[in-house]
Amino acid sequence: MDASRRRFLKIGLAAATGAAAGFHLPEHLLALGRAVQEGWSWDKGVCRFCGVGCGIQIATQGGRVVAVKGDPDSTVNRGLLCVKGYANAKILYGEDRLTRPLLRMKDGRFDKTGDFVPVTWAQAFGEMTAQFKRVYGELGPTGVGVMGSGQYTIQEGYAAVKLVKAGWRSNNLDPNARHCMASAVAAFMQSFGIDEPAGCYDDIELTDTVVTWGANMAEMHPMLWARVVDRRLNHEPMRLFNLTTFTTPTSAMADVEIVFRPQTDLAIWNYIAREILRREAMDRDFVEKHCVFAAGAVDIGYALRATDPRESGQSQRDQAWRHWLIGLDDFRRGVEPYTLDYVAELARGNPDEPLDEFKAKLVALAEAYADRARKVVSFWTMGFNQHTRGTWVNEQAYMAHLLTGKYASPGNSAFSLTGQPSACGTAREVGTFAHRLPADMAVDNPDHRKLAEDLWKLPAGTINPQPGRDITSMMRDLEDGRLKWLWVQVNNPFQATANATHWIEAARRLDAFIVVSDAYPGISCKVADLILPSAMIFEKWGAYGNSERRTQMWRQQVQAPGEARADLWQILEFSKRLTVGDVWRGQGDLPGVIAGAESLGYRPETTLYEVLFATPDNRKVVWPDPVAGGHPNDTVAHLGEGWFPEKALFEEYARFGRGHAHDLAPFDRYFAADVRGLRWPVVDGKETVWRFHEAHDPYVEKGKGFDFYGPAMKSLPRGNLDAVTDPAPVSLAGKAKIFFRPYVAPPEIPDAEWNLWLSTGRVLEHWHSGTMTRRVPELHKAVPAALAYMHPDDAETRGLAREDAVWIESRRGRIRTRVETEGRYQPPRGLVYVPWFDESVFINKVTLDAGCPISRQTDFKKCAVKVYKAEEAR
Amino acid sequence: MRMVRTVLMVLLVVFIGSLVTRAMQAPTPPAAAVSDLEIGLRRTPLTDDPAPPVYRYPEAPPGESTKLPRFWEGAPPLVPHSLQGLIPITREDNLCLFCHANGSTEPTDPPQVPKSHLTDYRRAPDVIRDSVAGARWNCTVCHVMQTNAPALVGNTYKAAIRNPQ
Repeated sequence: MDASRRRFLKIGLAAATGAAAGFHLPEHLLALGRAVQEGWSWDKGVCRFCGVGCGIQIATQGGRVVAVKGDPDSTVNRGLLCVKGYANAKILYGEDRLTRPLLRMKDGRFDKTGDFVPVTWAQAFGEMTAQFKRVYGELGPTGVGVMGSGQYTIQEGYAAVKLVKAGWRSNNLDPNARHCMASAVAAFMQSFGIDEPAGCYDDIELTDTVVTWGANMAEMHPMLWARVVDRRLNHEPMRLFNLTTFTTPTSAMADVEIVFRPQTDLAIWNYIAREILRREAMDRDFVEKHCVFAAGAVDIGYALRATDPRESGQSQRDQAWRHWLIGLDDFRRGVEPYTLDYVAELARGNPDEPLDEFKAKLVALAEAYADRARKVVSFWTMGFNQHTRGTWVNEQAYMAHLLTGKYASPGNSAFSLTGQPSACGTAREVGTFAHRLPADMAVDNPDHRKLAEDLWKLPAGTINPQPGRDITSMMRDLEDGRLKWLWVQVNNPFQATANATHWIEAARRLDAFIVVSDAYPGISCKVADLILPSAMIFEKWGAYGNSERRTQMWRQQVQAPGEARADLWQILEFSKRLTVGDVWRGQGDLPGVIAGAESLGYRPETTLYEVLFATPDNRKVVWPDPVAGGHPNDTVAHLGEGWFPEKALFEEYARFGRGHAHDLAPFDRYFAADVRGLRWPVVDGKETVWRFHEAHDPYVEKGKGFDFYGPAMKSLPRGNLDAVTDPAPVSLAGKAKIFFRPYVAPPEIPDAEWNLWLSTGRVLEHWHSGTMTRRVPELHKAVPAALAYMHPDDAETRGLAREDAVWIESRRGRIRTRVETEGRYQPPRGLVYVPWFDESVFINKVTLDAGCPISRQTDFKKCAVKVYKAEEAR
Repeated sequence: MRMVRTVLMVLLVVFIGSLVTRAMQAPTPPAAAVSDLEIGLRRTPLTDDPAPPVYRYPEAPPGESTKLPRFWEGAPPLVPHSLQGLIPITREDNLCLFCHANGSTEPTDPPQVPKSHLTDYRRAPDVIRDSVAGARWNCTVCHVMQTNAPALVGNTYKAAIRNPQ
């Protein structure tokens, strides 16, 4: 290798990272000669897209991002990226980036019926503040809300929590992650008393079996799938099972593809459990030492509006969370009806598959779980989480793994793959959900509120004990006039929420004020009153937490265009416009806390910025900081006060988790040249690879082997499958719960008129609602429109041919697209798949806003539609 | 004391910096108003949902197409030819490699996978194998086809490419 080139590489990186430590590339690859460009400066970062959290290297030159590549030193992806990952640079440069605040105006004043006029930030915040005070005065804390994101940086999410929960005393902050993995959270809390997975990605290289359930991993978590495929090709015993409702690219690599009827995954799990017991494959020692059995309320409804006829007779809809202890015999009775014959008949998803073949596959699947010699990893994502029994079906996965003792040990894992880059890091760990506080704490727990109030130096009683509204309920409140001021950040809820026609109309109610912060104008911007231009990932400092508890940080690389500003700056700047007197006087049932505030030294005119953010402690964290290594910080520059919010807020946030099994490392540690993120809990500088396992997790009491130490919901009454029989609570400290959950039919099933299932989802090339990826010509051209993927026979019986324009219609609305019968998805007869990335194929007008009553997450995977020919010219 | 002085100096520098920044951001005169129809990738009202145009992937078979420009130098090449009958890639069949990893060295032959693809970065990053690394088996995860769809909006990214080949 050319010595000068090697020298340049070292120097380039040393300059970028502020350290001389090496960046590891195999010698022969360097010798291959992808020369480092003269003047390019490389720094480490993390991919902007899915929950895998691939490590990337970003090259900048002349104030612009010029290139991106996979980071060979990242154990997540070892130098590889998918096609979206390579687009991390190009997403910054779409020509219609929002660069100035835009306010609907007429005659120089805000007017809901006006067009968008560019205004200054001062004007934008002025109108935003006036509208906030109008609504807060009229409706109180429940009349305002923020729709946040699993793509917020950790610091943005933390600032949003503090502003909404401590500042406004509202708990109406909910992330788009509600649509993404709320069911996973609820199941973790119910099964383990603590959120987030025991295992990690390392399990892939250690297992003998991967079972994907409702997860098209090949497209949605492609660099993890690359690891699965690698294991399959290089480890002879390895087997892949793919459980899905239609054939996807993940099926192409599977040894066994099981196409099941939507919702019957609940029944398949119970068949597996029945087989485990019948074959005496239960790990008795593990179960007796570390587990209990549990059951819960059944008639809990579908999270529809209470007035919906499908909610009538759902007698336990207000007790969806309730559960109690049962015995092994009860559990055995629960799964007994789920015989092979019954489940095969119910669950076969492809009507053209012979029943015997389907049965043989179910048997093979049960054998894989039951085989004591076989390690098993189960992966799932939106097929489970977006489910009217999403919490249950997550719990069933733990059920099978706990029964067989195949959990929390190397190569054995039941793992919820998150969709978003910081669904774990921000939405879950920071607690941007309507009921949460940082580190798994909840607003309706008085001890948790007190702890947060003490840490935040707030008057006692500041935090509202009433949980806020989930994102779908906030939409309903907007429609009902119960919520009239809404701030949308880092997501596109008016495209992303099911039954969308209602919500786009609600946004245009004359008494509602909608603020949308975004980098590009999507559907949410179209229905907004005020649009705020946001900085994108490498235009600010930030941190994300991926699916395997790995926290990763990056430095600002380039400046945002025009007047676009980081969301963190927007939150901090808006907080300067509100005072203690504006929001802490009390209203309705919520007593005022002004007196308490005054005793802490605050005055009614003290701003929330001073109380919550620019505190004396935080102001001690000054900018510039050596960790920057010459990189800029425009949040600091625009605040103009010399403190370093991203570092100060991270360190403040980390105090919630340290010593409570959520330990994060010091801020600077994540920027060290030899660190590619760290998996929490990070104790004594060491990350935790497997939680709950004595050999790996420092929080496990010595001698216990395994310890499910999560504290939540660990005291329960006893009962049988139907009800509580002995209300005296029993402690189950250190144990995990094995739930029995029955099969329950979904609220809408195809019939003679609405005769097809509709499933929605993503495609490899596009991210969520497409606002970033559709501005990258290569990604757009790869998948330019959301088509209706259907079986050729289903097309033919409706008189349709490939490429025909069709209406997709449900009881809620209809949209047009085109038929595809030969694409990468092959649904069985009876199901149509339409991706949701395309704002011109607005499929969420058609979907049903039913969801899991426990997690309040919407089921986007099943409703009933009809498909018929549309006129060609419009 | 020295510490305090340093902090004060830093604050002063940042303060002056912010004044300069603010001066540079003097309000610009209002631009023309735009309606919600004039922003975004969708230019039909939210109440009107026409079918998208018909777009097609290339029909040219392998060997009869021309290379497409890359995102940037070193980014994965786009697939310029039809994949009809060549995908899906399965455990047994990877027809991409039949042409692109057959050891050919003739310049007129299909481009061959680079040595990075013959390297297992996870387990043996210093060894060049004689076959494609397992983690790279799914070619179409990086190498995607392009339809004839025009770009929805321009992109000002500059693809610093020195050698288009």
